[in-house]
Amino acid sequence: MVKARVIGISRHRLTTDGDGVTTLVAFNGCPLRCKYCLNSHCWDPESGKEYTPETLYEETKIDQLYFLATHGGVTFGGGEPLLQVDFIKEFRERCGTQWQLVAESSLNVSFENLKTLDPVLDGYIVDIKDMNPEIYQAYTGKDNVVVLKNLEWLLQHRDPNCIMVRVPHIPDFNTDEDVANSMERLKGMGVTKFDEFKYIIR
Amino acid sequence: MAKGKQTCKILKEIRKQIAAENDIKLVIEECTYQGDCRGTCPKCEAEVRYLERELERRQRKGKAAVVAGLSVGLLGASQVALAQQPDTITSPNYPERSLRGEVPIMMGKVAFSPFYHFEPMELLAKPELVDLFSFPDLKDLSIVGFDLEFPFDVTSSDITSLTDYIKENTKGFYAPNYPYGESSMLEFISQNLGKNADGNAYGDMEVAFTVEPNGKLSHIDIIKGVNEQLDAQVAALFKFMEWKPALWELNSGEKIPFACQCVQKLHFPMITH
Repeated sequence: MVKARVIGISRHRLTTDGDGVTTLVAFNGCPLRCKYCLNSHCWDPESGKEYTPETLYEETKIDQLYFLATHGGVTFGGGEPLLQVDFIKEFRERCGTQWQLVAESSLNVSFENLKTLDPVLDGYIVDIKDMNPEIYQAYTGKDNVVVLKNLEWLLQHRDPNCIMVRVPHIPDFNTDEDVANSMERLKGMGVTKFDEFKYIIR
Repeated sequence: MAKGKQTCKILKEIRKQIAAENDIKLVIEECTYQGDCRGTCPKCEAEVRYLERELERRQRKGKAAVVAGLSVGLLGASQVALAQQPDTITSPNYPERSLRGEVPIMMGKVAFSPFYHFEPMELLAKPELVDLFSFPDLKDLSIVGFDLEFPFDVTSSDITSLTDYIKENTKGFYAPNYPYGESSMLEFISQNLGKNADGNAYGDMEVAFTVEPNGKLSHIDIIKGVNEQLDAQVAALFKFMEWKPALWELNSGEKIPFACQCVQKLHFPMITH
């Protein structure tokens, strides 16, 4: 049976994770090691509570009326949700086609994962960090070669309106000019929806 | 307006729209809770469950349940207001799962039945009826709502007839309970807390849940927590419990189980060495 560890479930999100009323399900496990990660406990393989697609569905369907009335649903975050291919596919089988399923991802995963999961997803929130490879490497500890390839593929295969790209101002890692450069490059690739914001370090 | 309150307001509007569109009677009482909340509380949740039951009832009668996309416009307008609320961090933030903080406890609320119903809040305004639903001997357990069915259409009955019916047919109401007693329940919880439970965690906890007519517990939510780990463990233990359901004993001796929404207070004492 497919299982996954979930580090948090947040209900009734109205502005941050796509359209409608959404429930954010944050998975354990991430290939990146971002310096200001909000959920660094997801790096601990033992962190979180174990769910099957069925138990997660049972827990999230409490908000089904809100999902249906507002075209909302479940946003998978993390951690990196695109590492949970089988789990999310099975979850889609449980919840049916009316819930909107969105992945909030860095896209720093294998193309196979993206391609396999794409048919069951309604949208993406792509956390691009910074398009400059050096900045990306310094901030996340990994390169962004796969990210760009995956994003390019997505933009060719999906309506750009279902892809929101997050472009953060990251203190001590990028400048306003870097962010502007990232956005220019992304627009050139065909991205039309942006969420530009600043990390506030607490 | 605080963000939780704003969320609550929007969700309430969605519920109103669903009720209006499907001809479901739903009177939403003004929330008197003063602090901020997480956008929902047992009272709000009970209204959602009530709507679900009413929609099911409509479908059983062959009527369409109109829900899909009903509130898309509403949310679009509300999101502007919400987006203006400051966040401590603008990137996604994952708050703990459960509600925290005080939730107004309402005694005698009646959320009504899968078959017949009348306005829950109407009952609150009728002390003569509320008084009928008394559950004696409750210490740390509060009844915050219950679902009752009547063998006739209460919407067309006046309150006196209903009161008379209940009086004439009722030997007593029995609160739901853990079958081996409250102390056994506390023992069950303390014995089964995981090895990783923080021994230094102490304080008062409040667990909201529904005891279904079959004794299973559902809609478990920690409305006042101690810490994230302990809250999650206690919530998981409640999922394993089976209770004796609330019972309505008729004069004939027949006992009818019904769903009951409860809040159980738990106290975790400080451990000193």
